[in-house]
Amino acid sequence: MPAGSDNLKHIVVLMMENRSFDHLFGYLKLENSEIDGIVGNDYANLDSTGEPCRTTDGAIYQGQLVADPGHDVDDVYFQMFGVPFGTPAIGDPNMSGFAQSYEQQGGNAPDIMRCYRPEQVPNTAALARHYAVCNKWFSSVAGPTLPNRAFAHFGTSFGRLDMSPVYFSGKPSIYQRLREAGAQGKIYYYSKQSGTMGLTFLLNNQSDYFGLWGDFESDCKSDRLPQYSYVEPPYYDNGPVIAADQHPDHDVRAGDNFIRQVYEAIRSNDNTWHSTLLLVVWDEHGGIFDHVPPPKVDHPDGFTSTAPLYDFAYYGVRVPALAISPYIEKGFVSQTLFEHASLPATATMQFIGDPKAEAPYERERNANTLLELLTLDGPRDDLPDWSAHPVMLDPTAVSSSAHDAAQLHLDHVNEVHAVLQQRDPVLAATMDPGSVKTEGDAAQFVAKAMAVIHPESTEPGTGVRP
Amino acid sequence: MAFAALTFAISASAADPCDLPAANKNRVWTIHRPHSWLANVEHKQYVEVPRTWCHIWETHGIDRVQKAIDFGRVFFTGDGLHPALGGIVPGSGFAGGLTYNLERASATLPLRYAGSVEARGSYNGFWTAGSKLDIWGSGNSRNDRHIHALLDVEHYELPQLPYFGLGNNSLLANKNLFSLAQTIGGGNIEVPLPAGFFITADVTGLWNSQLGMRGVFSPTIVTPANTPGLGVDTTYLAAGGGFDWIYPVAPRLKGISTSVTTGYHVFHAASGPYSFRRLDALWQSRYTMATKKIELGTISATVRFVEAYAPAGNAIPFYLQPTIGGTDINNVDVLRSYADYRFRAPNLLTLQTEYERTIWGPFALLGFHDVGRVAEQRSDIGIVHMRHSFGAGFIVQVGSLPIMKFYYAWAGEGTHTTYTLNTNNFTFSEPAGVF
Repeated sequence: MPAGSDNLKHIVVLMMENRSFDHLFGYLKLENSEIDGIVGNDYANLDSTGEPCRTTDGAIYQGQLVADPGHDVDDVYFQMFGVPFGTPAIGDPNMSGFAQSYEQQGGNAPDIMRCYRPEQVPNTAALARHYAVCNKWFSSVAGPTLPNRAFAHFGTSFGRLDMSPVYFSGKPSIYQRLREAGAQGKIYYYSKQSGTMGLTFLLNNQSDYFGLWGDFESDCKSDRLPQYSYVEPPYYDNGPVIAADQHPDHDVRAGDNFIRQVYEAIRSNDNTWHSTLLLVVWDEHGGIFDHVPPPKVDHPDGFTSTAPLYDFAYYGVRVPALAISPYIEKGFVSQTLFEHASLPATATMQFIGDPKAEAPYERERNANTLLELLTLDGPRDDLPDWSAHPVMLDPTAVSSSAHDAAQLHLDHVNEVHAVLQQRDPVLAATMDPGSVKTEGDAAQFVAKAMAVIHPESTEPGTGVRP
Repeated sequence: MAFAALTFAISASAADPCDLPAANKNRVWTIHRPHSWLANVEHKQYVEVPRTWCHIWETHGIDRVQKAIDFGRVFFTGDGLHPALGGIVPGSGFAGGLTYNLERASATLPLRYAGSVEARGSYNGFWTAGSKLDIWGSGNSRNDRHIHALLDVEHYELPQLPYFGLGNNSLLANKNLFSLAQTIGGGNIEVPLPAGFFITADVTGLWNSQLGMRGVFSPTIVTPANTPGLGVDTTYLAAGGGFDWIYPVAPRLKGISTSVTTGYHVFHAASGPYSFRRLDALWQSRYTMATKKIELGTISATVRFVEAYAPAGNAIPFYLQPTIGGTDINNVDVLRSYADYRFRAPNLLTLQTEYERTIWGPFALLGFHDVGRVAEQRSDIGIVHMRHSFGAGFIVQVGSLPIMKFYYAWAGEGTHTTYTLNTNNFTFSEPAGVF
């Protein structure tokens, strides 16, 4: 086991709302080229007029995503595959439908490609520089909030894609499983108004499983945190408190400050700090662009959705994630694939037993745990530099626009070409998959082919490099 | 790889009977773009209302209850146009109307807005219309505490409000009815301070039109001599402020929580001898009990104190004096076994204790004991000659917001059964009794 896990007594999860990795963390690539982000203008989606909308900075704190970007399963399908839900997709996701999907919501297409500069989210960026960024944390479901949060609580959504939480009732959550193992897990709502809609159905009348923000602060300060804590940010503007969950169109600064509040609550007691792993992760991308195609689920849990029909074959879109602990190396970038089932899997591994034997559902059994990040033998107490102005790398030096196409891209090109040969043999004869060498070549090839394969759909764009 | 992708696509191609019509509507909507985000708000409702209604009937048991709540949320709340159901003031009867809600954040200023425009009317002639706008500061705040302001303009037509005379010893048999038309325009601001304190300030213009009494028992009992403001229209500029305090600052699930609200307001009458000043204080404390596994409910205690002062030669119009008994014009319940608006006077003191316990999902049981009195003279305020009520009922709440209350109360002058319902969380503040 990693050295730091010997000292780990508490896992704290803060799950924020609806931002993609590129959107929040993308520009950190200019400081650390290991981070799989963006350098600006390096990815594009086509809008409904065929104009490319490129990834750029220029995301503002609020008032930009006035129309809530779509993130129901049908929206995310379109964003990932570039064809409408109900239309067979060709090959793997190409991340080409974000701009047009946002237009469907009444939004301004270029806004969905905009990203924050690290200096705009100084607390989040400082923590990212000081601890670990997870490069490959994908939301568990290509859909909305509750099924994704269900994966955090249960390791599955029981085949559900909708926002009705009643299906949680009576199912073995990580909190109940911890209790059966002699440990404790707790959900800390910010306030009673802020409980995720209806989640009180989860463990009705079992107050020991719940606390509010004041309880969390108090438990941190007195070193009484349970083994597993799940913190919910304020979701609504209420009284003097405004929503800090970062769901569009909530003020991103409020969330950036709340993340720091959680961190500082843990640091309010050295014993708490020296025995805690804080994981900050967003529940789903919220319809906002990310350039990394989600991979297929290697170990499906056997649940499928009937309304609508859906088989959970792919993970959802990539989300930002931070791992924070005194046993994590400064500036570490993890390349391990995580999903939200990794949260109960980590708690299970640390406090119950090997998830392969102890977890009730397949996704959690096979999810990677975060324990591998705790590599330091002793704790480090150095503080993040909250006002850091790091030197940016030259964008051209870290751009991978001319990188060789990965096997994933080449496979995709070949599949698309095979379909094109059936639909339009003449055009297919003029397009040689063998000529595709770079990611940019792959993107252009797929875009050209998809325009013929799906002329009835909105004009396909490309999520890979133009 | 191709096979897996195809499996995904085929399985996704058949949508359920509720989602398919919604998908088709969305597709048509998309073809006829571009749309403004405002138009999209209405389109979303047009799609989601029938979809959530459909989902109710394809489910069973507890799932159906949750789907019904989903439908209610889409149908009654959120951005866009909605029906508004529920009473206007006690005695108005069941009212219905329309409301338009919109939340917006400024891209250029650190401000957030939640606005509501609403009109409601009841079958017996009560109606109200107006708008309000909540504004939050959203600048950089390390502890997420922000300035909150409210602007509102509202008009109320209340054609038959009960009046039993002034004072703690008025008689139930002396019930008369009066009409009141009231227009309110103004705003208030709340600024958070350290340690749970807030400072508040407000300015309001208030126009009242009152057409006298329609006696049910004996109109001669109510005269201008014993009923200040009878048949008189008044116009006020009211200004004031106060300090509030909450403990703990960060909310806790169990244990004690307390809030204190204070206000001091000057009501300057534009004409006539009706200027006055008022001091309000409200103390609320809650104690939530729980064992390790079971929540045992919440006991709460509330004390309200109001004291008013009219300079020499001035009087406080009866329709601006607070009431206790049943439910007051602000929809606050005190002395719940008595008739609505039962006791009216410039000064009052009330003490209430309640016990509330969630029994299942959104349903909670309620038990209470109210004591209180009003006084025409400030010197008469005290814990003597208090009237009291007992009662029990239940509450339906979504989140922690009660959307429906039903209770049965006894003691005092008999029994009183009441329900309250409001489908719109962004509903208006209050008519005159807000002061």
